Amino acid sequence: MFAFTKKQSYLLGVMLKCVLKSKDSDPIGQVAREFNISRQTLFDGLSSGIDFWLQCKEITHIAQAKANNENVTRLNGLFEQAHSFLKNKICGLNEKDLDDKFVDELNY
Amino acid sequence: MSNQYLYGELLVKASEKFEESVLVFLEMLKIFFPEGSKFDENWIPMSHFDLFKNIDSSLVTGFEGSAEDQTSCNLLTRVFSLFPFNQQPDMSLNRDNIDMDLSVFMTYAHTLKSQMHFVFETILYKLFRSDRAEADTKTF
Repeated sequence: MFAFTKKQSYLLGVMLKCVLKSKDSDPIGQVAREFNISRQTLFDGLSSGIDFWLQCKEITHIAQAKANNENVTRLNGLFEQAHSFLKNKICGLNEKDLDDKFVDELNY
Repeated sequence: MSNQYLYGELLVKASEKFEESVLVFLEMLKIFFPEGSKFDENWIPMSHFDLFKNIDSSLVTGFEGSAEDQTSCNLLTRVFSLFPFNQQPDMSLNRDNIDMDLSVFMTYAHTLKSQMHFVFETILYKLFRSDRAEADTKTF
């Protein structure tokens, strides 16, 4: 509960958008340099972000199964669409550890 | 009738490290969902909308691609934003890193967090006042 008082940042979303938009041959490295952080720090952040994304996607699946209504169905469709988009983009980065997240996604 | 609540079941399934972020995500699902549509005057007070449009057009905020890809990009970045990324001491932020879509989205998220914080404090206060501080989840 008291974790809600912690200061948090929306930077991971900003950096993900930069990675998705980057036309550099190494988007993660380029964005890391832009934000003056190490490549590994950004890589770890994206890795955790993908885990969280998969968790949220699973939640929408459960919600649809339990409370089948128009809004939840629409949300589920949007998550599936965004998931395919993310998967394509991440696979384009040629980072095996990130690719593996999508291989293991059935574990969620 | 099942005694299980969907909200509780979803929260129980969440990994420990995502608990707080999942709580906010679930709360958002109850009132609106971060579907990825662009924020318009329905979301932003009219008094701020012109300012928002001007800032939006002067900064790098968008994602070039089809409408579907833009919606997906917004949805993804909003969900990723809910996951805390601790700012590094030497991290540099410049004008181009300001993202109005995520700023508006996180304003809603922070408002929800504040409200949930208040609700939890009130529950705790009532438990202590009624001498039920030892209550477990079954008698809560």
